[in-house]
Amino acid sequence: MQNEDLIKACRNGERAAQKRLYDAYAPQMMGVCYRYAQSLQEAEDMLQEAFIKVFSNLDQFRSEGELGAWIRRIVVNCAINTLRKRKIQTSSWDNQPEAVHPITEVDPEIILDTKELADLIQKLPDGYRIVFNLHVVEGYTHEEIGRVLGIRPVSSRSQYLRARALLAKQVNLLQQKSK
Amino acid sequence: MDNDKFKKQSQEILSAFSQDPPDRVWLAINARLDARKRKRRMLFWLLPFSILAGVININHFKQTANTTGTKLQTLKQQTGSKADQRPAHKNSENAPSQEEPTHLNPIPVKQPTKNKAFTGNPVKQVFTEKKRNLRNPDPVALNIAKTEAPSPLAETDQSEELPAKTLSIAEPVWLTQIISPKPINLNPLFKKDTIIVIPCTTAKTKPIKKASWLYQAAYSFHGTGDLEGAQLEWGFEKNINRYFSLYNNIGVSLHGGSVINVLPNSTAFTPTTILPIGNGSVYELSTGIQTAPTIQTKIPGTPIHIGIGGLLRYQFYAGGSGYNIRRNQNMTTFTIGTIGTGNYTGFSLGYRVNLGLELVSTSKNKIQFQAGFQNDTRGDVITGLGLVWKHAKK
Repeated sequence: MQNEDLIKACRNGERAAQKRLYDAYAPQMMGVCYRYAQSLQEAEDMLQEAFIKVFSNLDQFRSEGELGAWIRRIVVNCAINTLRKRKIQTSSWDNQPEAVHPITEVDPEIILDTKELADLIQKLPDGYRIVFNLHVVEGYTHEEIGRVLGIRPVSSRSQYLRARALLAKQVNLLQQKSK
Repeated sequence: MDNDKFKKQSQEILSAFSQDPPDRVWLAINARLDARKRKRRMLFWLLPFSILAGVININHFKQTANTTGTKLQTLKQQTGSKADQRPAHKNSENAPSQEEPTHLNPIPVKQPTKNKAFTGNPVKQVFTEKKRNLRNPDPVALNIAKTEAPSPLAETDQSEELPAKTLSIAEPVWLTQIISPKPINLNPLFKKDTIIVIPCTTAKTKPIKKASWLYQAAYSFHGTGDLEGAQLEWGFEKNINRYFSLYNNIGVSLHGGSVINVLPNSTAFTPTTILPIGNGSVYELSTGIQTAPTIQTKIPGTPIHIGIGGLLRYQFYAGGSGYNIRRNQNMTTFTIGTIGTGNYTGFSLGYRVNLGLELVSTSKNKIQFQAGFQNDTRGDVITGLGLVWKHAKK
């Protein structure tokens, strides 16, 4: 079945087509959710919510765009909304003491597999994790992150630098252990 | 390793990351999709049920209004008849007793013409009997009309000699003929200044577009429902944020209907000619142009919208007028009264409330079923049901 036919069938509410669409994109989107979530359970909830929105709003999808990118955008928005509902303390983001996670200039060479790196990202504090994901993986600028999360761009930059420092430290530790 | 390299390497690794979700995720999605389907089906049936409930409610409202009007009219007629007969009492010692049993004085039915379709209404049965009597006028009554005005004493004597059959036509009878548009009095039973409209405004479910054009058409009622008509509106809606939208429109309305009036300024008289027979109603018409800035919101998790706003209305009301003649219970005299609801033109301020149910929703078009209510400083009330088509602005 072509993508357009699949989308058409999904819009008509055909459950078999919806399952096929889910099977095609769920693993990749689960990876996205996993990076934003604090736990596997939360990632599953995010994925579930996101696919409900995908099937509900499929008539708004323009055929000229890429379906995967469109679904990914929905998944990211869902992840951010879920974290918002969990009431992340964004107000305290500006006041994080630098001593907790000092910004280092030296970054290690990453020789971890994807799962290991994703696990490390998942262990980052909420604010660090979201900003790191949005900036590094999704390619958002700090101004855009500020708008999405309702924080100042400076705070976003600061969160990213600290997240990177903490992640680099964790990568170093893990690589040293594996040696 | 510089910052960009670390970032790029992280991006490459993480972009490729995927993980198979457990089966329970799909099962949960499947169950939720089924639930949504059931909900949509329920909403599909909600529309016809809402319309049916609305129609039943309107009919009930009309019947209640008629019953109330009849009761009020009875009271008015009883007091009015007594008042009308006072001058005659002064001139005649044999004037009819005010202690006559009320069953000899049936209620003159003020039944709007459009309500004739109602079946099973006891009020209508009385009205039908009365009409039948009017079509076959009693010769005694006609003789009374053709002869010269007898003295009050003679009238009393004549009425006393009437056979039992004649008593059956001694009911008060309404005869009406429209004579001029001269406004005389406002109807005390039906509030003419009241209009009922079907405010159909729009609320949105998905604020995809920032602004939309709106087109509305509604079947509406003005006042107590005696005046039926339509309302057309054109509007523009802008989203304030994801929860609220602001909407403004310009609309026109046209309502008309036959209304039967009581005799507020009756005068007793003795006719010298045969009087024309009418159904006792006059036709009234109201037209208006209005604007209603409205703020709207959607109830979360439902396709239901609620809106409330202000109202500025310019209205022209043309009330019918004429005279109305009623045979008194003494059978020899009649009471004539002028009726009229008057004309008025002017501005009024008010408020408007609407409730909407989204039926169709695409990225560019939305169709909603809406019910609304508006009231203004003149006491105009307009209620109605209609459809709204919302088209996203390019």
